[in-house]
Amino acid sequence: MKLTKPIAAAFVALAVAACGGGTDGGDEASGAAGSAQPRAAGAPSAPDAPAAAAAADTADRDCPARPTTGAPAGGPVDDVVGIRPGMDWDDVQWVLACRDDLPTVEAADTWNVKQAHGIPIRQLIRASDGQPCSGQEIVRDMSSTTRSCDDGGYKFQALKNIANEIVVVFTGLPEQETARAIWRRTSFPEGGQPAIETLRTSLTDKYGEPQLDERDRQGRITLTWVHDLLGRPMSTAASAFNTCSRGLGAAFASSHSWSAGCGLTIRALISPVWGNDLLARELSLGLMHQKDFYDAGQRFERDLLAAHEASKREQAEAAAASGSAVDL
Amino acid sequence: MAFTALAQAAERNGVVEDPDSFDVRRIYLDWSGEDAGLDGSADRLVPPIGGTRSGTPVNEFNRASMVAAERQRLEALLSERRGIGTLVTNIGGTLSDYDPGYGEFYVDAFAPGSRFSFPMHADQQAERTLPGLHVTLELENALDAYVWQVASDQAAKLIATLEDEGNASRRVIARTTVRLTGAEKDAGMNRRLIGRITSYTLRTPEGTVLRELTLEP
Repeated sequence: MKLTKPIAAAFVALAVAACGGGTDGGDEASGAAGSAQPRAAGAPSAPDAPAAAAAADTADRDCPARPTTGAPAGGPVDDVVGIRPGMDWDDVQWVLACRDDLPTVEAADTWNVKQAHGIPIRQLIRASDGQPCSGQEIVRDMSSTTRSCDDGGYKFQALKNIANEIVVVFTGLPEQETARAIWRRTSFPEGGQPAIETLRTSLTDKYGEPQLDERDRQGRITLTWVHDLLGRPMSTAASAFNTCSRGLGAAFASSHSWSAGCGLTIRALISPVWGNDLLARELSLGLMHQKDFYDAGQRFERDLLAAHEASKREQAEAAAASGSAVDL
Repeated sequence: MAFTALAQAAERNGVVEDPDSFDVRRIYLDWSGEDAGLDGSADRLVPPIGGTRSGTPVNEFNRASMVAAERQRLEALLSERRGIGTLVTNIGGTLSDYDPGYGEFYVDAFAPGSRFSFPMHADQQAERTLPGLHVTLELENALDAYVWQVASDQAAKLIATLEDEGNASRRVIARTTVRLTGAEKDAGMNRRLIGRITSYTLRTPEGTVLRELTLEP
């Protein structure tokens, strides 16, 4: 089977990112950490060169996908539908292009980096089966308490009727992008809603027994898997467990934080059908290796700054070499 | 701009015990090579014309020499912390619950990803000489110090010791020796010294030694 799936251009507003630091006292420690929150609804958008560059990309390969980045031997299961941290941009596109349930693929530029310095980066891919909303529907949403159109929280194209969605966050300069975090959201159709216990079994078969299995007042179930930096399920006695288990949201459009003291983290949120808490209406799943993402984010920001500085120097040298004096 | 300075550790044999934030800032400047901005600091620390400095009126004729003297003083302060390669400091925290599955305690003071800040220098005047320069310490091998594998019978004894001292919250203090390896300013302008723990002695607040660990020579 051969697939060709265009990637639509999209623009994302700058995400908020924060780095932790110690504040007081010689014996006080604070974590090296970061965070990202969804863009505020209604924030302005603008045409964007990086995303336009991404629009030119086309996944055009044989299926099933055979990513060049294999799973590390011996480590915990760390993929979402075959997409795992460490995969490059092309491999992720390949996996997405081979799925029949995700026909619309969009790219966007920034997520957690503070400043891209005009470099055409690509930090996000969203693949989904939504249909574009009309301008009228978007306007109607703005004055309504319930939303039918969804831009993923980061100004992707506004889509409606999304039943399947995958969002992948990358770090790295253009052509060096590496997947770092993956989110999946599945809304089950009426009549095809799985039993929550079946879904739970599928999740534990794949990722093992979660350290946290919680149910809130709305009957939503959150399962959390946290690994330490040795690649083991993190001990719940570890002081870092609370931080490590709470930072990552199961849904992409929620707030997230990450810490250099935490390893692979997976969170799943199962929402029950209204009126039947034995059936699942929706599954959201997020996966991130927090330390890898933190470290890669730091490197990415440094590389962006270095590339920007180099570009400035080149421009200044070129201007100096042109030798044209300024007429005063 | 961001930079990383990895100086030759062998050339830095100096040791500072119980460094404060002023020490750490000066050590950072030595390691990083970042401009300390002494000209600006000296100019700022000398009152403007019309003011007084140590009882002497500052005027058009003596201010330049006062600024030069102040700059010299600041340069001397920086020199005091050149060539430092080792810090010895107390790091406080708590000992975790014992995990019988892994057979481990966790010394949360060394939780990976932690960055350490240092107390203010006692002399407020000294604190003002390098304003806006906040430096933390990051430990590269924190994980090795964080995980403490202990047999269950030994763990029970340790817990009994803490209980005997009325230390239900399991407060501990780690006298830690850190060999510096670099200095870094990231894109977010956060400055940090980077080091490796070579050894630590873990004590209770009462002084009972719980663990002595050498990680690196």
